Amino acid sequence: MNGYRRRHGLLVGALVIGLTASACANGDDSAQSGKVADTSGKAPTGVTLTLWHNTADPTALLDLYKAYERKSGNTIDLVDIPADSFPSTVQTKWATGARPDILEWHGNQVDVLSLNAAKNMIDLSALPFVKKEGTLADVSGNVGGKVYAATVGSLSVDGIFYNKQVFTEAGLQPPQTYAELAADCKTLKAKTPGVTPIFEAGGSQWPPQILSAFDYLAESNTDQAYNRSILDGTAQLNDPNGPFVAGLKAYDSLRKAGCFNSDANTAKWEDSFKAVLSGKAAMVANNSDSIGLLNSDADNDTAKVDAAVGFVGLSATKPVTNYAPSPLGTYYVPSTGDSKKERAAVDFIDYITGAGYADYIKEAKIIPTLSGTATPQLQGLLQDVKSAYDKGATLSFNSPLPGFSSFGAEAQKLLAGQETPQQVADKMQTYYTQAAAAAKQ
Amino acid sequence: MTSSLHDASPTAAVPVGQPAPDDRPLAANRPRRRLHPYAFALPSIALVLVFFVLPFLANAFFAFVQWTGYSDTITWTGLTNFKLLNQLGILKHAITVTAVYAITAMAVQNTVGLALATALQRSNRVNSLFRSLFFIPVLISPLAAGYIWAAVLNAHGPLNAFLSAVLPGEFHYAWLGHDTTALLAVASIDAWKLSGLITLVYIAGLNRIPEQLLQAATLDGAGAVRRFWSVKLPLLAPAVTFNVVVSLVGAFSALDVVFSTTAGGPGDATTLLNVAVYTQYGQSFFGTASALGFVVTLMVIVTAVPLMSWLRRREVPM
Repeated sequence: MNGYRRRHGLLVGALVIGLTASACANGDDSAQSGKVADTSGKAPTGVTLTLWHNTADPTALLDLYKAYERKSGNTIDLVDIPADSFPSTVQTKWATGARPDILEWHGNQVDVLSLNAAKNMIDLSALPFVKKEGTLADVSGNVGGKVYAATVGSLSVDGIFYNKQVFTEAGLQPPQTYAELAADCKTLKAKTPGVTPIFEAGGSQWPPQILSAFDYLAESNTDQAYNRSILDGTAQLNDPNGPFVAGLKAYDSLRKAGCFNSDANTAKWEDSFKAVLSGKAAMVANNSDSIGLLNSDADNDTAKVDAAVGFVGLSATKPVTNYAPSPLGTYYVPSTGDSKKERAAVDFIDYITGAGYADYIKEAKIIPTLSGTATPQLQGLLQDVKSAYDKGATLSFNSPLPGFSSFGAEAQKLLAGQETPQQVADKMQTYYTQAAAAAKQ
Repeated sequence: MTSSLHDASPTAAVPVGQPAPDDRPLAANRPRRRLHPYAFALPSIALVLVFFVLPFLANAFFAFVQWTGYSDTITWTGLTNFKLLNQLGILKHAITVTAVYAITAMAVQNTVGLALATALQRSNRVNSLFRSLFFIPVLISPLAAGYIWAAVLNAHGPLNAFLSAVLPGEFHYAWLGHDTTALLAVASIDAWKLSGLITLVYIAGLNRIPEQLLQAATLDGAGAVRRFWSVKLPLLAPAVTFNVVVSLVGAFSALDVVFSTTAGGPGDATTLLNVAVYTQYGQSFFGTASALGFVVTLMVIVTAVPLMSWLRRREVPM
């Protein structure tokens, strides 16, 4: 009996030591870290490439994949990642060691870092699209000066979608500052009582971030001034007199004034757009990625959408919009160790930013992110987005800040009245510190 | 009535556990007799080892390291993960929410289960039909149950439509949009899902109680209520032990029902420990996720061991 237990114990001990040793060891595939894109020779054909894609991909992107298949003779195996839980699903799958051949993912620096791009992705800096992206290549998919992503999707521009008819009825102009927003809310409650002034979709977790922080801080982040100050430590997120706390306070006062829908905590992103299209809600704070959803809600009648809904950029005291590289249409090439598939994936990147780009832009009718292609005739709502962007646009301040993936849940708590603005800011400062320490390792 | 394997039955010629007397010497019998119980248990031991012990040990190790998706290096950091989770308020809040959830689910399950068991105790056609009906939720996928109930409890869903019809005025309360009701709702959904199983265990326990005892109690003048409290309930103690421990400990590990109903919301009102694990993991903070998972294990051990021994002591031998 004793002998059996002793052997048992030794076996368990050996396994634990083995696990520990393997866990503590550095990745021994150093040959793969810092891998540069291979563009030599002819691209392979007849290869099957797995592509993890966001289910919110507009039709134009899906057609782009098919166009590549036809041109190259390769097959693209699409793996759907639901839009609702997109960041956590991709990171969870990634953490298990699963690697697609092509990854559609956020371009924000922090999101690139969280997948440890320097080790796990192929460096695309030498490819021709980088020059065409211009300054976008510095903010999208960029870590340490190396470009790991190609961004062909339109930029995600944050602002306010408003229902034109409701605003006409209430005799209002679309708001451009938070003070105007609060005043408009008051007027709407008086003049159009059955209409929700601002529809917040707390049930989808990410939308409340836009009105509570991204929009408010747009004007503070010219030339990335604000996020740089956080990164070098000259400012802190939870500075009581700082713009982050001020934005959260402004959001909280909108909530207390009853500007939000009664089911804000459980309403979903899809519901918010149905509401603003039908006129049940006067305003929705969201980004231009959602225009595809609006169009499909109106059975692709873009004229109907343009007549019903407008877009305007707003920030604390100025009409400044903020943008981020959209996850829709930003592609990375993970190192999988299969050089044939990696070569084919690089060929995919070349195609979507080169030969296939013009047709894609023509079909998508979006503002091109790569130079050298003319802007097509845009639908009215997108023209609103473009003029808001041209008026003044800054990078969303969270883009390079580690730890901001926790902000969705904190903004939700603010919306639910569970935390005060200062408490949320204190939490975010801690999250930032935790993640920054992890990212520096 | 507990029976003992080692009771010598008066009619057996040889006490159980002893080899049949034959020509072979006793010494040669001993090694074979000692090994074969373990041989039979070996597959189970292997499964427990691979799927419980090793992951537990790995979890215990990774709870104390800094390990994120940002980097490949894993470094020992002692209690830093727990300190950080405490500072962020995640740890305390998740433990509180999990405890409230588990106690609510356990209370609802056992109350409803016992009530149904008392009603459906006799085995006849009607009772068998109802037993099956109440067991169906046990078989539904937890995710499906969550989605269905999320739709039912929607502010503009069927429940509120029904309440609007029977109550004066419009009723559009967002059940899953307010902290307390959201937590009670998900705990009740979990309870609803498993009550069928609890009921069946209670039915088995009730049917073990000899009729003579109940008849004797009736003769002594005990009414239905008195019979229940003084005779049935004490003799149900083994079933109570099983049900209370299983429902409480099972609720500690809840994830799927909560996730599909509220995804941990509103805010973090229903963020149980396992939901918090998922959130940390989804941000590629694996060390802190392991720390939270380790806390679940500790909670189970700290709760289940004393609870079980206390409940076992209450068991009355028949």
